[in-house]
This record gives sequence, structure tokens and C-alpha cells, in this order.
Amino acid sequence: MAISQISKFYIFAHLSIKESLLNELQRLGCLEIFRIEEKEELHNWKNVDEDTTNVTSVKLNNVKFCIDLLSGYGSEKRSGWGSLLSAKKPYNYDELVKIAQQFDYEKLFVQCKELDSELNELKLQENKLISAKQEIQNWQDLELDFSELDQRKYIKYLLGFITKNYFNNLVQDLESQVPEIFVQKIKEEKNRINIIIITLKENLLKIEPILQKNNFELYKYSHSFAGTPNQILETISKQLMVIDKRRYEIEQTLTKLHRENELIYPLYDFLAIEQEKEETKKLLKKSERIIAIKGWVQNKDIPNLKKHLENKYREYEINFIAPKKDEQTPVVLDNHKLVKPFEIITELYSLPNYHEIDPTPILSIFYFVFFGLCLSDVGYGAALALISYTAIKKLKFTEGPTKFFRLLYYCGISGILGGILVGSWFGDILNYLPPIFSNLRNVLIQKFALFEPTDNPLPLLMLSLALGVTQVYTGIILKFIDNVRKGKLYDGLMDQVSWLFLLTGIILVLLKGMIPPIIGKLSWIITFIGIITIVSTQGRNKKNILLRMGSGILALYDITGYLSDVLSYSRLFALGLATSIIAQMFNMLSTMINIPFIGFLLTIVILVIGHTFNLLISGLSAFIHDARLQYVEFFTKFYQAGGIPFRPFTFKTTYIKVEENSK
Amino acid sequence: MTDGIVLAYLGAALAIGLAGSGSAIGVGIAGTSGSGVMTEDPGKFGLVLLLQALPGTQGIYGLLVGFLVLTKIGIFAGTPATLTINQGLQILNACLPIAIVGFFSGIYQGKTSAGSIGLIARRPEETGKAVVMPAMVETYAVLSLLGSILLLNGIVL
Repeated sequence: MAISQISKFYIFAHLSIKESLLNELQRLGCLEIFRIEEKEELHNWKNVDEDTTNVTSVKLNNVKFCIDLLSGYGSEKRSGWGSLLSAKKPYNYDELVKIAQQFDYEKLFVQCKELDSELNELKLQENKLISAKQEIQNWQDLELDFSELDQRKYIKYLLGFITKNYFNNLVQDLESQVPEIFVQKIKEEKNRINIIIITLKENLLKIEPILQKNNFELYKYSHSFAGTPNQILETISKQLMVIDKRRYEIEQTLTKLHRENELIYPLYDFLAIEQEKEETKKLLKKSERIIAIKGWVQNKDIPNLKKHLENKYREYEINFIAPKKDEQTPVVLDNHKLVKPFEIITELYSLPNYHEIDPTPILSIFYFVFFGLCLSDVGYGAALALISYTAIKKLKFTEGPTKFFRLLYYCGISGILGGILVGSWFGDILNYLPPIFSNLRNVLIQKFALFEPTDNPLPLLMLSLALGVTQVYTGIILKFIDNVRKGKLYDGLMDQVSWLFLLTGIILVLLKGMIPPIIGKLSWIITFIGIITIVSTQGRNKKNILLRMGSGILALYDITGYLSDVLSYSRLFALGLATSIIAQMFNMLSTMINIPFIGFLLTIVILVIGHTFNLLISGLSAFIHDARLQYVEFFTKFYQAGGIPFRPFTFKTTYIKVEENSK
Repeated sequence: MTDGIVLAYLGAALAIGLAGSGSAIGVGIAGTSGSGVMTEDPGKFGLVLLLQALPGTQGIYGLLVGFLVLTKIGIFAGTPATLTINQGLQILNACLPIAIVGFFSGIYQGKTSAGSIGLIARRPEETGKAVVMPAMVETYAVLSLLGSILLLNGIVL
């Protein structure tokens, strides 16, 4: 339906215009270029081997390195949500070329590289110091100079650790077996005790077996700091401060560099554009004088493409060929402006196959209606519409986000309509208005609200299920149309129309009390036609007549599938009701405050926070559950997914926006 | 205060408490795996948060049913209704669907969300599908919410 028509093209051009032609094609951005295979029509053509040194990609990586480093410093963060929401700065292509020529990124790169490695070095030193600090802190209460421990002539100091339950044992053993000895507990933590043993060197041989027996673990001081533990700790914290200071200086320098080199962002995007061009060149083939380009183009872009090329070049030839039936053709959706935002929903699932139906136009109607029922609040709908509308107007988005916000805008409007229908205005806030407004309230609720889901839920529940039936029917009918389109009329009649009969019959039987008796009688006939056609046709690919009957009867079991599909739409009602009840809850909470003067402020705070929360939660639910209904209940009936997206050869930028030269 | 109202309170408490616990466990499971993904790529915070929030709805549904019960028995109006044991039991029963299903679906939705978070870590382009998978579990929470609301609505006081 609304899948854009695509043609294959070949361009043959003289080698002399290669660069300029590629630039022009990239600027136009309407072509997807793909590889010309060896075995294809063009025998003995060579690859376009250029830029084998990868100069551009090396440059690109270097610039990326600078950006990654610098973007962490300075006020302007360019990551995550920020980059999505902040408008991209526009440049035109000539400006970019100029920036690329003038910007001395090499110097910046060298600087960044040095600063980065210094930062890493500092980090390394800092880690070393911190672990030394933790180690020494264990011996903090010791008043001995660590560097002199091993320099005594007669006395030996032994530092070490021992587990708690061995400690007493050790002390006993040592004191009973060694004459001149001193054992002292330095620090006790959890299960481990730090101890010092002082003894004469001549006793060492006697001590060792005792130590071994009690699992004594000798501590070896391995740092170069001199002095008592306290002095060492002081030295360490001094050095840490020096490191901190130096790091602060580096960070300042980086912030300054970031501020001075804002142009690195356009440079990066320019290089990315160049890189894309280099990559594309690998897809092309050349003979001695001619270069060949092959790819896809949307039919609607062909006149524009031809015009541009004709104005600029003479030495080329371009051909267009319609894609073959079995060819993997890329897909791009092309819908009316009103429907276009809903393409997002289709794309989230998967693009349709090129030769199949684009469900977006029909999906958009259902999505719009369902969202309204799920959100179903005038206040929330209005808030959503207002926010997204302002976002579109105020922030200059690129195409993608604009599309998304336009979708939200439609969803908001749909929410307003749904809210009017069920009489929900920020829940029941109308009830809290002063009496003067009671007329307004009565008009809004009594005239416009067709449903009162809190008091009488059944009508709205029925409406939800009826919408479900409508969508399931639409799905079946679309599949029927698809079958007819492909010349499989009989399949369509047997697989889809038979079910339509059966389902219609069953619904009429269920509605017996509410319809004229004539139709009531007819309903059984319709049901039987359905059953008979299904039982007799569903096993048609089986040879054996009994098996055929068997699979026919089994196929009737699918009725449960349709039943659960329809019941699934009850979520429209439930989610809608949930929105307005949560809103009512917050309204009620806010009135429960009985504090003089500031109570009023508190009420407003509760209302604002509560309703914002509800808008987020209910909006998210509505968005997801609405999509789920489309994907699981609707698409399964007819949709052929699996299209590959059309990826044009164009300016793909991350930080900036490329504008037309004329501006 | 009558005996019936005690049972009604129990119903509201179960709806709020059990469904809330289910959500808390679910959000916790999803959050753990979300933090794991973010250690690799902190830029995915928005998406991860979205997926982590999905199992949170059961708690809200439970609160909602609890709120409906309290409104029904007139707590907010300041004049609690006089309930017989029978009426109290009816209200308690009406709360059970969301209490039970809310608890279990919250946990399982959390696990599905955790899986989806793993999916977007490797294939960010499949966000749409990743978001729909947990919503499949939530279907049953929505249905039980619907059940509870309809049951409550049918009780005559």
C-alpha cells in the first residue's frame, strides 16, 4: 500500500568525475549503493582501490579519542539523553570542508594523548599509595622506624599476623620456651591480629618452629618510605594531595581545551562523512576509464536525481530497472503526513516485506483510538499534546525525533478525546471546583461523557471488546485481500471468509436478545455455513479423506484463539479505568491535608507530583499495551514482516546537522 | 466497627501488599541486571530504566483495587459502612485476583524484563521487541485487575 516504489539503478561515469559525483550523490542522500558482485554483468572490472592506508579512519579514531576524553569535562555534556534532546548545530558542507582544512587536530590530539596518559599514571600512583596506606594503617600504633627494623645488631623485630584463636597459644609457647622475648598485640580486627615480637637474634632458631606451629604469617615491609608508621602515613597523604592537585590542574586544562576546541565536533562528523564515502567506494567497480555504481533509489526521487545530475555533469549514463519479484529489495515506508508518525510503531516491530502490504495506514487508526481509551483523560492528553507540540516547535529536531514527538502529539489528542468520552478530567478534579462551575461540570460530564466506567463498567468493556472484534476482522479481511491480490482467491475463501462466517454467526448467537428475531434465526445458518466450510476445507492438503475430516474438525479449535484475542482487548477498558482511578486517588489525597496556610501549597505539590507520576506511568502503559495489541492480536492475522530497511548513502552525523549550501 | 469491615480491610491490605511485593521483587530483579548492563554502557540508562519500570505496574494495580475497596466501604467519606461477615468476605474475595496474580506476574515480569535488558545490551536496535516481551506477562495482571474491579462492582452493600 504505502511502501515506496523502488528501482534499481546503474550509473556509469567517466573516472575523472568520480570524486565530485560521489560527493554530489552523498549530498542528495537518496541512493542506497550496494556491492557489484564479481560474477555479475561486468566482467573483468576491477575494484576501486583507494585509500588503502586508511588515513581517514585513523584520523577519525584520533578525533574520537579526543572527543571521548574532552566530553567528560566542561559544562556541555554530549551524551545520553542530552544529545537526543538538544538541537544539533547546523553547518553547511563548505563550512565543514573549511573547518577540516584549518583545524589543527594533530596538536590537540598530542596534547590529549599526553594528558590522558598522565591521568592514567596518576591513577596508578594513587592506587599504589592507597593500598600502601591501608597496609601501613595496620601498624599505626607502632612507634618504630620501619627502615631501621633490620639494622639492629642483637635484636630482631618480627611483625606479622595471626588468627585470633592461636594468639594465646602463641604467647604461652613463646614465653615458656624462649627466655628473652616480648610479644605485643598491635591491632585486632575481626579474626586477625597484628602482632610484634621482639627478641634476641640468637633465639631465632628456637622461635621459628613455634611460629610455624601457630600459623604466624610474617609481614615484610616492602615500601621505600622511611620513618614510623605515622610519619609514613603523613608522607603518603601529602603525596596524595599532590596527585589531587595535579589532577585538578589537568582537568582544568581539559575543560579549557574543550571550550577552545568546540570545532572538534563538526570535524568529527566531517570525517565520518568522508569515511562513509571511502567505505562506499569499496562497493564500486571500475574499468580503465569508467566507474560503475549500482544501488536502489525510490521512484519518487528519480526526477530530482536526474535533474541534479543533468545540471552538473555530461560524462555519465544512468539506467533504472524495476526490481524482480524474488529480489531482496530494501523497504522504505512512504505514507501521508498524518499517518507518517505511526510508521514508528510498524518499524518497532519490523518493516514489511517489499512485495507485501504496509499495515501503517490502518494501524494508525486503531492505534489512535486505542491509545485514547487507554489514557482516557483530558488533562493528561492535553499535557502530552502540549509538551510534544512545544518540543517540536521550540527544539529544532532532526527528522527522527520530530516524528516521535508528532506521534506523542497525536496520542495526546487521542487521550483528550478518550477523556471527554469517559468524563475524566485529571480524574475527578471537576468535582472539587467551586460551586460556580457546577454548570460547566454538568455540561462536560452529562452532555459529552457517554460512559461512566466507575459506576457502570459494562458498556465501556463491551465497547473495548467490540473494537477488538473490529480489529480482528480487519486483520482477517486484509489477509483475504492479500490472498486475492496474489491470485489465491480459493485459499482466501476457504481460510478467511469461512472464519468470518463462523465468527459472525457466533457473535450474532451471543447477541440474541438484542437483535431482531429474523437475524437471530439467520445467525445459526451463518454459523453452520462457517463450520461446514472450515471442517471441509482446512484439511485440504491431506490425501486421506479421514485425516482430512480430522484436521478440519481440529481447525475448529482455533476458535479459542480468536476468543482470547478478543478478550485481550478488555485491557483497553482496564487501563483507562486505572488512569482515572489513580488520578482520583491523588485528588483525594491532596484534599486530606488540613494545615492552615501552607496546607494549600502542600495540596498543589501533591497534585503536581501525583499527576505527573500518573501521566508517566499511564502514558507508558498505554503506549506499550496499545503496541502489543497491534503486534500480537492484529499483525499475526496477516502481516508479513522481514523487510530490510533502505539505508541511503548520505551525511550521517552524530553531533551536528548538515544544511544545504544555499542557506 | 463491624466484623465485616475487618475482612474488607484484609482484602485491601492483601491487594496492596501482595501486588506491591510482586512488583518490588520484579523491579529488583530487572534492576540488578540493568546495573550490570550499565557498567558496560551507561548511555543506555533511559532504556534500562524504562524496562525496569515495567514490572512496577502490578503494585499500582494493587493500590488501585485497595483504593476502590476503601472508597466502596466509605472510609474516605468518613462514615464506614456497616458490613456483614458475608459482605466482608465478598470484598475480600474480590481482592484476591489482583493480590495473587499481581504477586506472581510481578516476579515473572521482572525476570522477562531482565532478559529484555540483556537483549538491548547486545542488540540496541531491537528495543521495540524488548519492550513488548514483558508486556506479554503484564496482560494477566491487567486481566486480574479487570476481574477484581468487576467483582467489586458487583457487590451490593
